[in-house]
Amino acid sequence: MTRPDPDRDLRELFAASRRQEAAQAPPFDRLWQRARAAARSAPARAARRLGYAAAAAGVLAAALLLWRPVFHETEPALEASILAWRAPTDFLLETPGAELLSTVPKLGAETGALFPAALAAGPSENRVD
Amino acid sequence: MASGDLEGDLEALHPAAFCWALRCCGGDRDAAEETVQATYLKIVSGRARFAGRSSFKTWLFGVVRKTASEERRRWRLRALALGFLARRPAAEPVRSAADPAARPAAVQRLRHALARLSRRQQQILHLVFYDDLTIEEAAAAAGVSVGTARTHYERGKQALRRHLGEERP
Repeated sequence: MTRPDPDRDLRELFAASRRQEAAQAPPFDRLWQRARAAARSAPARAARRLGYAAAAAGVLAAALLLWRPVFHETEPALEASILAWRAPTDFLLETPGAELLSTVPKLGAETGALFPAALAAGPSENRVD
Repeated sequence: MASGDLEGDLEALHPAAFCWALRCCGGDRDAAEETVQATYLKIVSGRARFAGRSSFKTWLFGVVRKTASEERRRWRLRALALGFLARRPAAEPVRSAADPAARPAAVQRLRHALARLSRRQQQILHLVFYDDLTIEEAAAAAGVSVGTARTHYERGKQALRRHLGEERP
């Protein structure tokens, strides 16, 4: 004795739905012929894509070659403008007597130049020998 | 497989392949048609070859499922590239053919109830009930393990009965 199918109701419903949907299927020949035509044109399409890619790479390479010299020409001008630039507050650093800081002092001559009155007065009374 | 045999086998399975594509594309008829055509293109160009490791039907259904998933991904990418996340136009329900045995109301209820299941559950139930595949064959066609297919089958069936009960007028 065979056991009754517990899912018979579902099977019947699905079968009815399948009949409806299968009747809506597009004709096989149409899809098959389209697929065959697409397969035939595939190599040409691939070659065209390769051509586009090569052209794009060529344009990119040419752009890089043309762009590099322009970059080098602008470089020295850029350097000069940086070297010529002066800060507007530089004058604040020019203090009186700043020249002393840039030279090595010499005993005697330099002192006389700085303090001539002291030299003319001769040795001081307070001087201890 | 010879070219003539292949074409004949595909033609015989064409309605079933279309129904399966329809299920994989969430009921979108245009997407299903594109999927079936892309599947045939893969077969014609030799990108998909039947190696005889399963039945021809199981293999074909596997190719359809994979192609449907690729098409879906392509559509998403295209939508992103165009700057909007619009999905494909809403799936147009398949109109009822004039089939007295079709019981349109019951079939409509079935479709509504099926649409409430997960995609995987829908697919496994479709393969088993629509196409009379075994659980093992359905697992191979859906690209899941047999255990997973069995779980989807049992849970899907329970959920489908529950939804059908809720939708009963």
